[in-house]
Amino acid sequence: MREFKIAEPKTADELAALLAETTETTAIIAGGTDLIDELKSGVATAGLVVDLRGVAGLAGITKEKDGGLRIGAMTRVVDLAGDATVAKDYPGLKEAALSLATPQLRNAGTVGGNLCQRPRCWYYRDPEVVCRKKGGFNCFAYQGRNKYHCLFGGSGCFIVAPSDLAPALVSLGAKVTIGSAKGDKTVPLEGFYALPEVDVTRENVLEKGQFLKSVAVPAPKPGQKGVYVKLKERGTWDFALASAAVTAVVKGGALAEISIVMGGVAPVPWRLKKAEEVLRGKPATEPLIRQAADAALADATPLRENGYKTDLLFAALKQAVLAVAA
Amino acid sequence: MAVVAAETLGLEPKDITVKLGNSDYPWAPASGGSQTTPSVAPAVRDAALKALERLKAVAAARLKIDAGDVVMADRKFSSKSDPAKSAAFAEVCRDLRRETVFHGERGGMPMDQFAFNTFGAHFAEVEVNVETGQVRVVKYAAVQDSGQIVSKLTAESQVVGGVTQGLSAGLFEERIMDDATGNPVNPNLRDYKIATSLDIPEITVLFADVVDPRINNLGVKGLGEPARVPSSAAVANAVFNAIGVHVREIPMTPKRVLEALKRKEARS
Repeated sequence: MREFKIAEPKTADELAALLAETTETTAIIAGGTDLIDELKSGVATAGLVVDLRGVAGLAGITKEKDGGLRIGAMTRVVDLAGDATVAKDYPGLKEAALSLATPQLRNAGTVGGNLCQRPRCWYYRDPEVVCRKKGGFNCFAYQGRNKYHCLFGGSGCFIVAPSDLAPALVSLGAKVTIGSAKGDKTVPLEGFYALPEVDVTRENVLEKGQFLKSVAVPAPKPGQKGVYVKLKERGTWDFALASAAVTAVVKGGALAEISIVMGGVAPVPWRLKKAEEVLRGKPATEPLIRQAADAALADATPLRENGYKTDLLFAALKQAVLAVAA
Repeated sequence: MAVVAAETLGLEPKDITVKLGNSDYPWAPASGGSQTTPSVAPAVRDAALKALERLKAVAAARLKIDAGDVVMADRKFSSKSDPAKSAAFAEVCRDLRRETVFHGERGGMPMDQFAFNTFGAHFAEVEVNVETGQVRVVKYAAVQDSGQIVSKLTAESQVVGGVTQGLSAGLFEERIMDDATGNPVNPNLRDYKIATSLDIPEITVLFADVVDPRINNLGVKGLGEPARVPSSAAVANAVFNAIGVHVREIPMTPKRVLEALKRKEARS
């Protein structure tokens, strides 16, 4: 591990000023479950590590006046998973939080850290490899070993978005507040993530000087239901091969409103708009879900070893849509 | 080693100090290859029996009785005909000079007449999700014939460990190599996946516990490897039984199970 300085700002303003002024390469540390590993292996380097744990007001879950929920970026995943309002109003989000990693990692990991975590691509994680994401010229996964890589949205970089919370939150229509010295701004979480074609070296739109402050989830609509299905290789402590977050309002047996977002299949949480169109207004049946999956898969470009994920997409979609419609 | 020596000498395992792993000691096999109990324990038994013989003679002299009349139990030597005459193990040892009673003699084994094998039968019950390719082992039973069982607790643990390793290898563990560089792409415990506690089912362990008198003076056979060897295969055969097609490679990941199901579909 290379040497670095550490800063421990006490307020959001102090943090914003620090990030704006510093000339060092900075890394923001929240729970540290992943960044420490990256710094130790040399995959990430930083002259200045900014610790968010002492910043007042970044943790906690609060009910908003409009009935929605605001989740501070430094809220621990274990607290999100155990929150009574989340369990009642957003069961899919609770399932996503509980499906994530292990109890030890959920105790340390934060919501903001989970949403901003770097990809797990094993070429990116190899300190000896300089891939496109690290400023090199080649993606080694494209013609290499790629059973965990993406079906959609890869262009020059074929990572998958590893977060479990992100698909659930995007399907709920969540917005994120980004802090900086110029003041706060709010963007939809869906727009917070960016494909490799935008900037291959990062996975979201955070610019230098900006940091994730909180996530706001809109109030649940009457009759709204949510499900998160995560398919993985072993029972626990595993990233999703494919996961499906479905938020829907069922009226008279039909899916009046539906939002489907998948994890593990694209470099960003992948919204299945074409599948939503197939399903919207109709009762959920297996043939219709097959049709919806096929509509979504029309955009898929499987790599040499990840073709099985097209089956997993259908399986996850079926489990999630049938559960939400039940 | 301590259990065998203690039982032979009428002592408790805590009375025995096992000295192991120092170049100053005589040659000994490594602990592995399923040979520790069947190779080391009989030698300990042999040495302990020889020590006992010598100690009985010393005790007989101390108690002024016939050596054939000496019995040893509960940490003391006593006279069979007159139990009032007795001496503690430690007292008798005080009459001894430092002596070596066992010089590493090798016992003969009539290899041309007998073969020695350990036997076992393993049973796995699995559930396969044919849409996701996920395999879950629901129940597992292992029956082993390893001769006389020296310690039931450690023997059971050995089998549970072997089954766990086999299940993990059969379903999760794979060293994945990059073809272009020849480097492994998953040299860490995040991507080289081992079974978690959620993946391990109820494991029932049974022992035939049949003493094989010809194999050695304790009738014991090895148990280190025998439980590991069949366990991946038992899971694979159960998967075949469930889906009607063999998954030809381990680990049987969702990818490989789904690919096997596709092969089956293409054939029919």
